[in-house]
This record gives sequence, structure tokens and C-alpha cells, in this order.
Amino acid sequence: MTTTTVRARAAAGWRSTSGDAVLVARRRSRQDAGLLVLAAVVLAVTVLIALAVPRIVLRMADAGVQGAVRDAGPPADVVTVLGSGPGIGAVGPDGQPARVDNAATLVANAATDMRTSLPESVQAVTGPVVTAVRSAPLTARLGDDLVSTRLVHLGTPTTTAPVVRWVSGIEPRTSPEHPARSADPRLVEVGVSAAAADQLGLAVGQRLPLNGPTRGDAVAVVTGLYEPADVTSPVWSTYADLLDLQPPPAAAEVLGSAGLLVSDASLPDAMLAMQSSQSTSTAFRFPTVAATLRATDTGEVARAVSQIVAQPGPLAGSDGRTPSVDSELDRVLRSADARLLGATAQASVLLVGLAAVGALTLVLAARLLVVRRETFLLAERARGASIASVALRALTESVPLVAVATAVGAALAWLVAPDPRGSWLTAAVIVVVAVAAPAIAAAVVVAGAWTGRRLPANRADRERALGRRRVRRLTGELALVAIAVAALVSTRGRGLVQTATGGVDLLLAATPVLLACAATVLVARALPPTLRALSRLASHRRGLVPVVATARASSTGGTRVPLLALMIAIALVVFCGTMAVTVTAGQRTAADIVVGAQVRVDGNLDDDVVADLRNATGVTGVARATALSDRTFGSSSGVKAQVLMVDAAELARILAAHGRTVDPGLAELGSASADGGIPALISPSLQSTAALITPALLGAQGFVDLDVVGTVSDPPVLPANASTLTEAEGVVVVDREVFADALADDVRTTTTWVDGPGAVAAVRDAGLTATPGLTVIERDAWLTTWQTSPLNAGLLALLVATGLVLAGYAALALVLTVVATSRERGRTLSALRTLGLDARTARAMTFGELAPLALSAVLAGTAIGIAVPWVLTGALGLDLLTGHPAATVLQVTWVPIVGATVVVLGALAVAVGVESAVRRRDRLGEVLRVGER
Amino acid sequence: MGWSLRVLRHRAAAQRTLLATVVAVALIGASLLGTFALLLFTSEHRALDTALTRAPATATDIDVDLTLQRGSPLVATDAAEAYLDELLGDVPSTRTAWLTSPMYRLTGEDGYIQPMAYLADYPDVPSHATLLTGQWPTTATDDGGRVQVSVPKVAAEKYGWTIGTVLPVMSFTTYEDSAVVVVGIHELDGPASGWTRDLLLGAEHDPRYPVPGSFGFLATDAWGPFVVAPGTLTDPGSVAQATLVASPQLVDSPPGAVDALRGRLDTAQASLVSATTNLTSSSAFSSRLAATIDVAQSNLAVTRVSLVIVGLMLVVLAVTVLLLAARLLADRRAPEQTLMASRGASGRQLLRLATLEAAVVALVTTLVSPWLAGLLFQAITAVGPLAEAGLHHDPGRPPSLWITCAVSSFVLAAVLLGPLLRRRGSVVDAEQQLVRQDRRGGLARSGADVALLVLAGLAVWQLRAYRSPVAEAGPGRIDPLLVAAPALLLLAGAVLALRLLPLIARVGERMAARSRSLVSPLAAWEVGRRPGRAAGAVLLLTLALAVGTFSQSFLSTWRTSQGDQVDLAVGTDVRLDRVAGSGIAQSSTVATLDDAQATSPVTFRSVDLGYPADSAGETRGRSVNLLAVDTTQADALLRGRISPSWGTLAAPLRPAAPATSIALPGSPSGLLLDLQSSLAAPLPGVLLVSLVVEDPLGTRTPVELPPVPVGATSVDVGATLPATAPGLKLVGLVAQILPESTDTDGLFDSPSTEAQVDVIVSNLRAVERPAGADTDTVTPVPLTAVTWTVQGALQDNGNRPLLGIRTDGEALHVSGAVDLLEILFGRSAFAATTFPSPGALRVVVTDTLAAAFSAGPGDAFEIDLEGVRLPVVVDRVVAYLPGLPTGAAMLVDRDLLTRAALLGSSTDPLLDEWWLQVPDASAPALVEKVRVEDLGIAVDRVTAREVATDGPLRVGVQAALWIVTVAAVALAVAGFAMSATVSVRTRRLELARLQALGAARSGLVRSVLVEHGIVGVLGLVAGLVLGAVLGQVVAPLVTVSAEGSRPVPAVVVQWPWPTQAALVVALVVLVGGAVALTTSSLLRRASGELLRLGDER
Repeated sequence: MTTTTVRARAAAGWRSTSGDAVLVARRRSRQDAGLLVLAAVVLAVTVLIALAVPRIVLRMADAGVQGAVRDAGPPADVVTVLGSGPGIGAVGPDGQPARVDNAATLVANAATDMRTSLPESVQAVTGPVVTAVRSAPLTARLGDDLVSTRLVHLGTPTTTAPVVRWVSGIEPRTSPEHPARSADPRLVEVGVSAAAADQLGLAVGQRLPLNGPTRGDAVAVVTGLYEPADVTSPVWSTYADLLDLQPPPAAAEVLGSAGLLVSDASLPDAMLAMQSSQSTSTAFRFPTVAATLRATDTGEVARAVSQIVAQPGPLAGSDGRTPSVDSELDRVLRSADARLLGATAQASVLLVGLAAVGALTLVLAARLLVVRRETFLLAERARGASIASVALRALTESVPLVAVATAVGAALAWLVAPDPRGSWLTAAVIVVVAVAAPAIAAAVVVAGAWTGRRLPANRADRERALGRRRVRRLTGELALVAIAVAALVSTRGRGLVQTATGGVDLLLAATPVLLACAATVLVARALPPTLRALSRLASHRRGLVPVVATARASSTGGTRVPLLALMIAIALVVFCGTMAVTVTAGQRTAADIVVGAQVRVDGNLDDDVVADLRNATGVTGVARATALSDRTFGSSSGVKAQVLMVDAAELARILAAHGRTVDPGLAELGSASADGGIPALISPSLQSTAALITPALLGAQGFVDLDVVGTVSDPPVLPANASTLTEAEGVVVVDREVFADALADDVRTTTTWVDGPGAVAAVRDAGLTATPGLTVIERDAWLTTWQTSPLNAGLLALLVATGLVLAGYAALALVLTVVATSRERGRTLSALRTLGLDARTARAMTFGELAPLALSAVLAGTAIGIAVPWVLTGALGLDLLTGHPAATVLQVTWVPIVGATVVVLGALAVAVGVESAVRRRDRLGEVLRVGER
Repeated sequence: MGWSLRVLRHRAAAQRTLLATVVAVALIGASLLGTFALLLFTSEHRALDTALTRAPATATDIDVDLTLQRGSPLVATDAAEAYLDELLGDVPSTRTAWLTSPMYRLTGEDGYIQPMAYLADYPDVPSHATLLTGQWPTTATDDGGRVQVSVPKVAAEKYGWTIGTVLPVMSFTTYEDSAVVVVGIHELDGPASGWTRDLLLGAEHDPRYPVPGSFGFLATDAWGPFVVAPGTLTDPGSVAQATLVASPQLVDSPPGAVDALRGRLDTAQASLVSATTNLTSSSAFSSRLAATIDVAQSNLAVTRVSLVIVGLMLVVLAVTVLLLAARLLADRRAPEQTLMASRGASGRQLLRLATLEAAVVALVTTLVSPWLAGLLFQAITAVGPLAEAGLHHDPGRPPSLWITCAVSSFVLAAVLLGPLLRRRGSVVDAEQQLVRQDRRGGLARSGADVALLVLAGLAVWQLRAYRSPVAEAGPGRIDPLLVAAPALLLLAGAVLALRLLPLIARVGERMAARSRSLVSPLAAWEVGRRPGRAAGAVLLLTLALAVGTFSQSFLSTWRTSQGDQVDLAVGTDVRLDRVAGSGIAQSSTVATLDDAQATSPVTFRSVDLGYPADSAGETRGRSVNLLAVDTTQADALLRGRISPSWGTLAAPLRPAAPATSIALPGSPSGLLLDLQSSLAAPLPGVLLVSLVVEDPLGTRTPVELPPVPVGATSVDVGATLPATAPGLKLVGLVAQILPESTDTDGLFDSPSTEAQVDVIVSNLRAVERPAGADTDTVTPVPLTAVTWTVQGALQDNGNRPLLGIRTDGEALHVSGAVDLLEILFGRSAFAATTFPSPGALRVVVTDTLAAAFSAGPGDAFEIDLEGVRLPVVVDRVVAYLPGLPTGAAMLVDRDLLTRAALLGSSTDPLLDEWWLQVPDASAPALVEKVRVEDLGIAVDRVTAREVATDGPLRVGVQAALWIVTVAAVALAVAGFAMSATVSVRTRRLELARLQALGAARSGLVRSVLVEHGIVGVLGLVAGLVLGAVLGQVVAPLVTVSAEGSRPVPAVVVQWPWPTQAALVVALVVLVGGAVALTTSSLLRRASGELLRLGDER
């Protein structure tokens, strides 16, 4: 054999394989244009989803990170502090301290230098620098009163826009040179905020003698009153005293705290007035711009921030001084990462399901195509076409189509979410399936038709050959079930989020899909015997439809792929619906748990305020609570408990009004107990101790005995202010009044719940929202904030959207199945029509034939869709979405189930109707003449 | 029924060889599984008890402290005893009671406030105290009603008490006057740690003991214990504090008792209070037993995971053997059953017959195997580390053993029935089936091997992803998928190896067709003709060898890894902590340890790395662990596997040259010098100077001089060294100016805020009192022999004051300008040293630290060492450091660190531990010596290694691996013997005919041997390959630390060639012997009867 002949033979082989492939493909695709377009649309949509979902999740994650950084506020900025002021150590030629007139420029230059020295990733997420030169705390004498103050110079080196607007007087100027050894005080011209000046009664021209680490006597001269140009500017982030008078700290004999603003011109004077380098500092604030943060970069940014905090050496300025760096940004980013991981895990479950259903639908479409062309393909094969050539022709047809559809899908995905990030892997898998499915399906059909395989003549050997195939199938199915069980067990044990590597475990994300596969296997095994039984039952009854329908249903082949697609789709529809309902209900419950009533006020409220609130219109209940942390439970029992003193009866009413479980006995805590002790509810962890010793709590005069009347399963949530040094082992709930009497001690309210339709208005009217020291949380506002937070809202939307898309896939899969099986059915029905079958009965028969498939898919899918969240409630990390662990209770509602059922049965009905309408056009005469088509 | 039994009996008699083989295999399988069950049971119960018993008494003792007022001590202690009885339940315990009386005022002695003493009845007194004169009190009171006491020697010396002295006393509880009489004088001995329950903690004297009732405002001398005769303190009011100590004897406790005890410990304090209400004024429960049990149980849970992993492999092996047995029996029975069926026996009858037979086999196995398992367990645990770990005992026959044996027996029975349940065709079909078998095995045909491979791949992938088979949720949980991964991989590999068999058989047959001899072709044909049986044998041998070699590889890997982990965690041979005294004293103590070949003082603490933040008092620096050792001895001192060696890694860290210093002559006991200082500011203050003395082992101890006023000349300022030793050197001094007022009047009049400071140190002398001399010898020490360096302490603004130093004649002048505010806040200090500044310290950091700060070689940091900031430069990044397997840590040379710290004006000696290089053989003795002489707390690597590998909580892994190895060999031998038996019995007619045709008997025996040889070689190769794959893939994943996490340092897979070779040889010899023996004993001479009747009889 020479090379030439080999080459010639190869060329001939290639010619025979590829000959006219393009032509055949073109003509053939024109015949089935509708179906091909459908497949292309499905592919485009699936690619769109596969590309868009990861991007949307990433954008949600971005928004989550940005939200977290925004919530963190100024602490998340990067702040560097130099322990001196500009030019403060300058000494003149005479050895005397000298004034450095360009101090403001020095600060601005230092800020610019520092910015360029920051790590690039930090530069990228921080905005224009703002500088602040500030003195040590000073006291200003204002008549007989004292005001605590400081000299502050604020600068925005990157912009020329002023930070303040002078509403009265003029901007401070440079004061005349202070002669050496003069007895006169040094003068510094300053500005004061109009608000503070108003409160303190300051006017332009006022002289404020300053006490503190000044160089000799110093006096601030108010030359102007100002208002901030932009209150929200990061310039003001830690300088509230420059905006308004701040309340004095407790037990301080000052009127309050108000800063003195120094302008560029008066900064040199201020520096000269301060005593030494230790009494001033310069802070450079690089505000974090949340909008520039990307979830994918958080790790790098956090690392860079940690590094610069620990190692500020590179930031050293031209004078060699190294600033200290402070930022919470790294911590904020790292804690945001944890929540993101949970969201990614949940999204990955949905994505795997979507991709699986999409791929299966494409396979169904491919099979339908092949079924329609079966006659031609078999004819080709019979005339000597090789399997390779058949597959090649199928590929010639599918590749351009897939390319176009993929391009459209990708373009749409770019329109929906223009973002270069996100995984291409899922989309790639789907595209490969779309390309290969028609070719493989065609090859399988062709290969099975004309093979050289011979069956053994011996019956036993034949049986053995068949048995072998049975066993092989059984093995595969068992392996699939085993994998599904393994995935289920693992997910339940470990949770979706893999702690060891911090990524999402693909096996565990595929759990619902794998379970659906296993269920398909089981249903496919259980369906034939059931149908046989039904068929037997039907044969004893009158009526043609059941007999024919069951017989046809049990003989319809190739139902596994549609069953699988349907089942996964329905399972995930129900899963998405159940999750969405669970999360929504959980968020509402969480709001009830976290806030406790319509409004919660944290902080001490006077009794008359409470009384006013009680009497306000629309307020149905006001309950106060005092939390005492870590009281010894019983004398020397070694057990500590948190004591909650509540207005028991009121609280019980409020809880009942919100539909939450009221611990039995809570309402009766206020009534005196029979044996003298104070009625109390204790948490179950204290039960064993209470059984051993006399339960008691330490009061002002010794121990007060308790009368345990029940257990408290979910104590009211109070703001966590207890010391974390010791860990309380449980909670004791007592009535506030009764316990306060027994304690003989004054108790301050720590929390007040106000309930009722008018609660919000009542609290606002009482002016509590603006009272310092009080925190007001409104239930509805909390709920809205929580629900609309980017991550929560995004995931919920993703759940709902996925459910809808999957429902569409389910309908499509069913329609494709109906169409794929219609040819065989058509023969039966045509034959029966010749015997007088009417159209209605024909429709019923068609429906009856396909109903078992659809029904079993609905039933099993629903079961899986409910079972998966039920089994995995703990593992899915839903707490992150609901907002409170106790609120995450699985909620099963009929909406998704009915929805899925309606979609499936509706699609079935429509398909049957259409098929029957199409068939009506077949002429009976032709059927009679041609016979089976 | 009668028919069945008769047939059964006859058949059993006729086929006794076959039946005996099957029973034997079943027995071996069930017994081995039973042994494993026993091991699990023992490690659950016995190992926990043993480990808890071996734990130190402080970790398991239960202390009940009762504080009494005037109540009766007897009633209270009885109640507490009853409480302890109830708490401990079935756990036996030894009890002791430490009774301490209330304080008595010694009314006979003088003093501003009269001294006090207390009586005590301690269980430790005769054993841990020395009687110096007199006798121990034997009776409660003497004839005069005075309590007999033995008093401490220090008190007797102080007050001049002798035997017979009567001391009037007054109780602080009852305020009654009474008297005690001295009958003995004693001294407490033993380590101080033994006297924690004494009122004065064994000190015998407390000069500042608060007087009861004075709320701590008054304090006086307290003496004690005054030992009384046992049983003296019984009267109400005579006991103030009773401590009942229960030492649980956990090793003898019945099963479940420890768990129950653990449950009760949670509420122990509450129960105690309820049990002693109204009897005591307060009761306190203290014990570390709960934590000890918890730690032991979590370690045990980790061990349990390893046991389950190995156990599953054993199950795979045992079930395979049982399957093989069943299959062979079925093959042998097939023609017989066909015959019976063709003679009219119904399927049900056949089934009943087989069921009866299987039930009998199962019953025999169930009844016998538990005893065999017990014997086997005792035999395995009788030797080596297993015996030392206390596993060798008679575990009895717990329910789990019975269940295991019964389940495995009945699984076998079910397997025996399996072939009968198959649908059976006609007789002809059956015959055909026997002859024309598909060469591929059933597993390959059904694709089960591929499915298994997929499952195994999935499981191993998950195991690799999670990197540990121990579930994160808690060591108590077993993650089924992760735990089953090794067994799945084993099974999949072995089954996949069967795919090779048809190829081998085909080649064999082809070669046989060409051959002209008899023996080998006969064997090759047989392999090809009955591939099912050959496949069984190959599978068995593959599994057995894979399990055996994997076990040995895993065992070796596991032991090495545990040893590596301990080496790294300890960090050196012996770590000596809490040595008493100053650096010089510690050095002398350490120098007495003769076995130590190299020693180094060590700084081992956490320091802040980074910069202090802007906000006051809070640093954003991250806490990292600092390890400072003498890096010139790194190779000798540091342990923990790393590449390159610690010596190489630490080489760049070493100081370029030893620190220059001024030698102090002789063994000085003190130092004298003259100090002169001036401060150019109106600020009164004192100058506080510390001289820093280095000893030969390298510790640098500051010796603080009494403060002298600033601006004055002080002559002969002296300080006593904390300990005396030869070879001391002066390396520097640290001076600090402390203001005596904060009055700033006139202070800031001058334009400059800085003031000139001058300090002159001169005339240094060493004071020595030679042995036997009465007077001190004073030797002048030249201060100017070296070049001095000075550095001011870091100021608040990050600067250092500029200071100069010069030597002027014999004096040392330090001068410079210091910020007055710094002086005012007491922060101004400087250090003068005999060596130059070491500059930035080079450090080796861990990768955790490097990752946290994204740092690499060359990056500079500052560490905050008790307020002194030292610059460091990263020299290299390593995965871990000795003694610091995880976390952020850095290694630095201690000499350089202390030099830099000293220059930073730190007077902290930075002495945390001592690390010693000790030969392995003498390390435990050294630790024991340290313990006995109470020199400190020592930990040695050798003992820790033993605990980690052979301790009761860990040894289960080794036991399991040995059991599995033994099981692999035993099951392989049993399986092959059975295979040979069946081979010969099935073909006896054929063999008889061959013999009749002239084939030699020995030739036929050889043919059977060669047949098994072919199968065996395939099994050997496949088994070795599979074992190696398992060893490489699985062993590193399932080797975990005691806590179940990934081991540090990383696992290095071991493949012990000698052991593996020995295993293979043993297996080949035993299997070959078994096959040869069975064949030659079963292959009889061709009997005429057999030839005449064929197989019919």
C-alpha cells in the first residue's frame, strides 16, 4: 500500500462523507424552518440566561458591597494622620518660631503626594482627598462660660470650590505679625458656624481667649459666620462640631463643643499659636467611593488596605514622617464577602437548574427534528450513507444556526447586563449541547436502524443479551440515584457554602437537579406497571378512551428526556416559589421579631412620655422592657442569666396582635404568685438549674425568689448592649412592675415597644425620633429597608424570574413532546377515524395518552420542589435573606404548585387542541387510500 | 421436612470438604469484622477511660470547696460526700478532705497586730512534709484538753517555740479563747503545685495576711498550717474551709458512666448548692474534668472517623471473600441442582434446602465468630504500642460484636442463596451456560465497574475539595460521602482491574494452543474456561494486596505525619517554661541540666505588628507571634520538618558579630557606681538608672539602681544583683528621668521647649563576697574599654531626642536636648549600650503573616514590643515556624532582638522560655528531673510524639490498620484455599480421567498451582498498583491532626519498601502454600469407581 493510495482513499472517504452536505443541509433546513427557528430561539434565550444570571448576581454583589460600604459611613474611608501641622517646627533666623505663610499649600501638596503613594487598588476606590489640620482640644472662654473647641483647617486640594459660604462677616485673614517677646496674646482669626454662633450668642468680632497647649496666650477672633456649602461632603464627616454646637459630655462644665474654622490665610497664625508639634495633627481623608467598588475586587482592596494600615512606610512624605493609617474598609469588605458568598451559592442552584432544563429542551428539540426526518435518514442509511456523513450533515446544519443564536443571545445578554465579568462556562456547555444534540440524535437513529448485529438464535442467549442491557440500564440508574443521595446527604451535612475553600461546591449546587434525575428514574420505572394496571382496569369498563389512552401511553417510547426536563423544570418552579414565599414571609416575621411591634424605641423614656404614648390615638399597646445583663441565677449556682423585665400583659397583647407565639404564662406574669415568689418565665437552658436550686435573682437587698411559671421559647429581641465578657446562659422574663417593687431599685427602661396603627405617628408627634440618646426603629421602615437592600431584592427577583422562565421551559418541553409523538399517534387516530372516531374523542385520547407523563412530572416535581427546601432549609443559608434565624421557617403555599400545574396542563391542552386542529385537515379519503403514513 | 434434613445431612457428609471451607471462610470474615467492631467498641469506651486516667490529676480532680461559719463540719462534709457520690454515679473515686480551721489569733505573741495561725487536717501531711523534731499529733487533744499541733519550722524559729510550748489562741469565728500545744515541728516539701489547696498555698508564712473582719484594711503575719491529728476538726465552728477532692478512677468505670458523669457536670454547681443549702455559707465546685472529657471525646471522634474509613475497606474485602465463597459453592452445586430439578424437584424445594443449609452455616458462624474475634483482638492488642496504650484487655462480648457477627453471617447466608433465586432455564441451558461463558465478568458487562469508578471519582473529588474527612459541623458527625471515598476508590480500582483478565486469558489460551506440554496449557485453558472463578480470585487478591499495602503505607504516613506535627508544635527537643527567678538565676538553673547539649533563652509572645492608630489607645496593628531564639544554634535547637533546614533559613538572621561588652570580674553580688546629672530646666525629678547585665547563656537582666535626684552628684549608688554567677558582663544601662511635680510654672518661658540633659556615670565597681569571706571585695571595672552607643527613647511624636555619648577619662558622659513635655509626662529615657545599634532586624515570617499584609522579602515593618518599636525587615517567607504551626508569626534572632530592645530603652528581659537540645533518649528523664525538682514546667518532644501516635485516643488508628493488614492476608489465604478446593472438587472427574490417561499427579497439582499463579500475578500487580494509588491519593487526605484539620506540616506520603516487600512475600508464600496444600491433599489417585460412575455419585 503506497502513500498515494492511502491519500486517495482518505480523499475518497472524505468526499463520500462530506459530499453535498451543505446543499442537503440547506434544503433540509428550509423544510423544517419553523422548528429550527424555535430551537434557535430557545438556544438564544438559554444563552442569554446563562450569561446574564452570573452577571446580574455579580452586579447584585457589587450593589451589596457598595451598600455595606455606604452603611459603614466615614469609618470606611482611608484616613492617614500626620502627628504635626504644616510648618509648625519652623524656626526663623533669630532662633524664634517663624510663621510659614504657605501652610495651606504645604498641606495640599502633602495630600497630593500621599494620594499617589497609596496602593493603586486603593486609589481606584477612593475619591478626592480632603485634608484637616486640627489643634488639640482647647477651651474658649465666653464670658463666664467655657466652650470646648479646637482650631480646624479644612481643605479640598482637588477643587477650588469653597467648603463654606460666609453668611456674615468675612473669611479669616492673616493677622499682623506678632512681635517677639510681646506680652500681647497671639491672634488667630477664625470662623464659626452660623448655627453654633446662634446658640452661643457669638457675633462677628468676638474675641475668644483660648486655654490649652498654646504658645503663650492666644485669642481667637471671630471674623465671620458660615454655613456649609454641602453638608453631605466627606469634609464634614468627623467634624460635627464645625457644623453645629455639640452637646457637652456628662459632668463637664462647658456649654458644649463648637469648632473654630481656620481659613487658608489664618492657618499660619493658628500653627504659630499652638505650642509644639504634639498639639496639632494633620489628617488626610480619602473617602471611599462606594460606586467604584466591585465585588470581585474586594479581596484585593481589603488586602491593600490592611497592608497600608500595617505598613504605612510608603506614605512617608518629603519630611520623612510616616503617617498612621486608619480604615475600617478592609473589615467592612471582608464581612460583606460572607453574605455575598451565600447569595452566590443560592444563585448557583438556580443557574445549574436553568442550564439543565435549557439543555434538555434543546435535546428535545433536536430529537423532534430527527423524528420528523427519520424516514429520510433511514433511507439515506439504507442507500449506503455512513453514520459519520449523517452526523456531518446534521452538524453542517446546526453549527451556523447555533452560531447565530449564540451571538444573538450573547448580544442580548450584553444589553441586559453590560459587564465583562461573569462565567462563560454554563453558556459554553449549553452551546456544545445545542451543536452536538442533533448530530448525535441523528447518528443514534441511523446507527440503530441498519447494523450488522445479529441476535442469537437461541432463546436463552437472546434473553441473556436482553438481560445484559437491562442490567446495564439498571446499573446506570442506580449510580444516578446513589449520586443524588450522596449530594443530598452532603448538602444537608455541609451546607451549600463550602467553608474549606470559600467557593460553591458544584455537586451540592446541583442537588435539586440530581434529585430530579433520580426521581425521573424512579417514575420511569414506576410508570409502566401503573399504566398496565390502569389499562387492565380500563379494559373492564366501558368506553374507548381509557383503553386506547392507557395502551398508547404505556407504549409511547422515549419519554425519559421530556419527563426529566419537565420534572426539573417543575421542581425548580416549585422550589423558587417556595423559597420566594418563605423569604418574603420570613422577612415579615423577622421584622416582627427584630422590631417587636410597630415601633421600638431604644433608650430611657420617662413615665409621662409613656403615658402620653398610651393615650395617643391609634396606639393599642405600649410595653416597656428593661434588660439586665448577666445576673446570677440563684445564689452561687454559677449560672448567669439575662433578666428581661417587661410589661408582661401589654407585651403579650402586642405579640398576639402580630400573630407571634405568646409563651404561655407571659400575660399572667404581672399577677402575684401564690407562694410569694415573683412569677417568671425562664429559657429551657435554665430549666435544669431551676429544678435543682431555688430560682432567685439578686436584688438590691439580697436574693429575690422566683416562681417559675413556664418557659420562654423565643424571648423578645433587645438591642445588644450587654457586655460580652461573660456569656449569659439563658433568659429570665419577669414582669417589670412586680420585679421593680421586689428589687426596691430604680430601673431605667431600655426599650419601649409601641404598637397600633397610630404608633408611628404617635412616636413622631412625641418628638422621640429626634431626641438624642433614643433610637427609634419602625417596623415597616425596617422591613422596607431590608427588602429593598440590593442583595435581598435582587435575589428575590432572581427567584421569581427563574420560576417564570422555568415554567416557560416546562410548557415548551411538553409541547415539543406532544409534537414529537404526534406521528405515531396520528396513525392510530387516523385508523380509528376511519372506523368512525369523532374529533372530541380523539382529543380526549390524545390528552389521556400524554396526561400520565405530565401528571407524574407535576406530582414528582412538586414533591421535589417542596422536599429540597424542606431538607435543606438550614443548608441554604436563608437567614442571610430573611434577617433573623428564627424567622426562617419553610412556608409551603399552593401558588407555585397550582401555577406549575396550570402551566403544564394548560400547555398540554393547547398542544392537544392544536394537534387536533391540524389533524382535522387530513383528508380521510387519503388516509384510507395511502394507509399508514 | 424430614426429607430435606436427610438430604441435607447426607450432602453435608459427602461434601464436607467444601462445606468446611465455606464455613471456615465465613468464620474468618465474620471474626475479622467482629474484631474491628471490638476495636471500635474499645476505643469508644476503654480508650477514653484510659486517656482520662492518664491525664494529670489537675485535669480530672473534682474539688468541692465548702466555706463554713459555725455549722457542723461533719454534717457539711457528709452532705458533700453524698453529693459527690451522686455526681460520680458509677464511677469509682478516691476521696480526700482538706480541712482548714478558721484563723486563730496567737494571743501569746506580740506585734502591732497579733499574728495569726490556722489548724489544718491535710491528707498530704505525712507524705509531703518532713517532721523535724517531735512527733506528728496522734490524738486530738492532750490530757489538758489542748489541741496537739505540729507547727511550721519558720514559725517555731520566729517565735522560739519548742516541743511542749503551749500557745494561747483565739478563734476568729467563735471568739473563744483556747490553747494548742506544740508536739512537733515540720517543714512542707514537694513542689508548690501540690499545695494549692493549702490556705497559704504551702508558703507557711504570709506577712500581709488580711485580718478577718477588717475588710482588708489590716494585715498581719499568718502562719500555718498547724497540723493536727486526723479527725480533730469536728466541732461546729472548728472548720472554716473544707475542700473535698474526688479523683475519679475512670479506667474501672462501667460503660456509659463517663457520658452520664459528663452530663451531670453541666449542672454540678447548682446541684452542689442545692445539696449543701443551709449547711454551708457558700459552696463552690471546681473541676476541669468536663473540659478534659470534651477534648478527649473530640480527639476520639477524629480517631473514629479514621477507624470508619479503614473499617469500610475491611468490609469491602470481607464481603468480597464471602461473595466468592458463595459463588464457588453455587458453581459446585449447579449441576447437582440441575439434576434435581430434572428429576422433579420444584424450585421451592431446592430453595428450602439451600435456605436450611445457609441458615445452619450462618448460625454456626454467628455462634463461634464472637469468641474468635475476642481471641484475635486480644492477640493483636497484646503487643507493641497497642498494649502500652492500655488496649489489651478482655472486652467481653458487647452487643455491637454480636450484631456485627450476626449481620455478616446472615449476609453470607443470603449471598449463598443468591444464585438459586436467579431464573433458571432448562437443564441444557444450564449446561451451556457453564461451558460457554462470556469472558468478561458480570461487573464489566453491566458497566458496574464504570459506575463505581464514577462514584469513587466523585467522592475523592469531594474529599480533595474539603481536604479532610472530618466534617466541619463537628467532629462527632461522620460525613458519609467523604468517609466512604477511600473504600469506593478501592472497590472501583479492583473491579476495573478485572477488565484485564480476559486479555490475559486470551493470550494464555493462544500460547497454550501452541505449546506442546501439558501443565501450563491446562492451567491457561482453565483460566479461560472458567473466567468467573478466576475473576473472583483476582478480585480478592487485588483487594487484599491493595488493602494491605495501603494500610502499611497509610500507617507509616500517619505515624510520620503525627511525629512531624508534634515536632513542629513543640518546636524543639525540650521546652522549659516558668523557671523561677531573674535571667541570671534562670541561667544557673538551666546550666544544671547536664543533658542539654544546646540551650537558648527564648522570647515567645504575641506582639503587635504595624502602626498605632490615630485614635488614642487603639492600635490597628495586628497581633502576631514572635519567636526569638539564638539563631546561631538554629540547627541544633529548632525542630519541625522544613526545607531548607532551619539553620540555613536562620543564617541571614544571625548577628554579624557577638555583642561587645564589659566583663565583670569574679562572681559579683552587686554593683556600685557614681552618678552625676544635670537638667537645664526648673523641673525637680529623679534619675532612675538600670544596669543591664548579660550572663554566659545570653539573658540580659536589668539591675535597677535606687533613684537619685536629678541635678545632683550621687556617690556609691549600689544595687544587688538578683543572683550571683561567674562570667557576667555589663552590656548597657537604661536611664529615665521622672518628674516629681507636674507644675509647669516658668517651664515654658524660654522659646525652646527643649532642655539640655547631662548624665555622667563613673567609677563602676563590682562587689563580690568570695566563699568563706566575711567582707566584700570591691573591684573597679573600666567603663571605657568599649565604644558606647546611646539612643533616646521614642517620643510621642515619633522622633527621638538627639543625644551624644563620650568617654572622658573613666567616666561616661551622656548629653543632649530633651523635650520638656516628654520629661513632664515621664516618657523621657535613653539607653547606652556597649554595642552599636543592630539596625533593622531581619526576620523570617510565616506565609499567613505575609498574606495578611501582602508582604514579601525586603518589606519593612515595625513591631511593638511592650511599647518599644523595633524596625524589622522580612528576609524570607516560610510556611510555619517551630512551635507555631499556624497563624501569623515571625522568627528573629534573640541576641539582636534584645540588643535592639535595650537600645529602645526597654528594661524587659524578654525571657519567656528556654529551649533545649536534648538527645531523645534522655529527654523524658530531664523532664522528670525538672518536675521532681520543681524547676519549672518542661515539655519534651519524645513524650509528646508518643502521646500523639501511641496515646490511647490515637492508637486506634494503628490498631485498625494492623487488623486490616492481618485481615487482608488471612482472607486472601482463605479465599485462595477455597478457590483451590473448589477447583479440584469440581474437576475431579476430569482430573481423574487425565490421570487415567497417564498424567502424573504432581503434574496436575502443578497445573492447579500454575492456574492460581497466573491469576495471582495479575492480582499482585493490580493490587500493588492500586495500593500505591490509594496511598498516594487517599493517605494524604485522610491523615489529619488530632483536631481533625489538615496536618501542618503537610503530609509526606511514605511507602515503606521493606514492609511492603515482606507483606507481598508473606502473602505469596502463604497463599501458594495454602493452594499447594489444598490441591495436593484433595487430588487423590484416580479411583476406578469415579471413572466408572462419572460425577453421578
